Amino acid sequence: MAILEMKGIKKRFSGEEILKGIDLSCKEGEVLSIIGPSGSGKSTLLRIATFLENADSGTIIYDGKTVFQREAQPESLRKGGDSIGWDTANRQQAKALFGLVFQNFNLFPHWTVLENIIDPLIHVQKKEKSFAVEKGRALLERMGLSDKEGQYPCSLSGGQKQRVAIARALALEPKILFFDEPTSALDPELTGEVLRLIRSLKDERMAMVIVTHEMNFAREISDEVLFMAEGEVLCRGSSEAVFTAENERLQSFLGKIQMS
Amino acid sequence: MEWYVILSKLLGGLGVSLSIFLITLLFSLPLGLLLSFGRMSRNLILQNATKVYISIMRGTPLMLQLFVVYYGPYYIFKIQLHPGYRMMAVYIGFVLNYAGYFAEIYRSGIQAMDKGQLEAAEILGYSKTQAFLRIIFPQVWKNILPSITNEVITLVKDTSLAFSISVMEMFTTAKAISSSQSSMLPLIMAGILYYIFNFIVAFLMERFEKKLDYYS
Repeated sequence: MAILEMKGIKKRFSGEEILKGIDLSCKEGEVLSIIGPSGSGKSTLLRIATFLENADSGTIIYDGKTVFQREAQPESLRKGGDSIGWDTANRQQAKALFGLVFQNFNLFPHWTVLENIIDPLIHVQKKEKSFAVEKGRALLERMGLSDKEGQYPCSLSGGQKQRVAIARALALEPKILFFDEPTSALDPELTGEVLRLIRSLKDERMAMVIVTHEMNFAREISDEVLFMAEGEVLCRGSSEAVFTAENERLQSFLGKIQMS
Repeated sequence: MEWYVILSKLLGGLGVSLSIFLITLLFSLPLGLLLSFGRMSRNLILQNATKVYISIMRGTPLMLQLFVVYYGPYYIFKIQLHPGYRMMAVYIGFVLNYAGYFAEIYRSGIQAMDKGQLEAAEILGYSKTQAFLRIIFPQVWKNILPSITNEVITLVKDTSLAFSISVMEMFTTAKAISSSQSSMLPLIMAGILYYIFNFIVAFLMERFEKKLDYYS
């Protein structure tokens, strides 16, 4: 069964149509990559999937439960109703199903590495502190960051920060993990460690939706690839099918990426 | 009058100044935070009401505000004033005024926060209150501390404005002795005491800032 299903997602920002009706779904153990030029709406789509942004219309279903459903309506009829279309109870449940890894990590700078990981366990999931610490340490060990647990994020490299951010998300045991350009803020020599980690999550059959500019990585890891441009999905399918598709827009995009 | 007699009288006044200082901080710091929420509220009535309030508090002299608080109840409502109200009026006037300044400092600090922090908190499942108390405020507090220190130091000197409604704090005391003895000495001594007061305040605030400097 699909963990996440999105249908007909539309979004406008100050009159400009950013998303023109996007469908996507992600099943258990599946890796879905979204590629495309900047400004194509990839990140907005991810933000809508994680409830950071409201879609103007469309449907969002998590684990078979409809969380959000809103009919298309002319803007003039829609009055400041951010809450319209949400099923509050389902939304609350769905929030526990996903995690999001940000481009610029968004670790909490006033907490140590370990505190960053265990605080949500203790204060959101209401777990015992001893349990949380044990779990946090196990995750840090897996990340190869055991020696950093008492340090503050400012003293870590970008790659280390991102690994801590991934550990923080994993601690809450999500069923699906979103990545918003997880390596775009990293120096090239640091992207490898983060990509290796994401690969290892695939081996554990973690469902993932990844917005990325790392084409080789997307090609290798994805079960499905979406190519987006100007708010539309121009190409979708298996990794091989998309990367060899004869879509002009896609090939010119891939060409430009390869050049850089 | 011997210098140590003057000093002991001034120290009595300093006690009153200190109480104005402490009571003002105790109440205006939290009140300022509440006002900053009003100022940032999406409710337009609340937002504009706090905006006008802050604008008046910052736009008119504190001395005038003290007069209004102290004499207002009598002039406007013909309420007979209890003698103890004089001190109360000073506390009220100072708290209302300083809360206005603190509100703007909080607001600047909160609005300068990276939105990503709040988004990360939301994704991790923190409630809005938790996110503010555990994640946003501790960072805001560290960032605004230098501005708060500025206000606190000004407050030490502003306590002398209680002179305007004849509260016997240190400046009022110094002025009275100076007049009766035709001497500058009490004023100079008061000046030195204010300076020492502020020296200690600045020292403590700096220690406090250093303590919060464990991350950057």
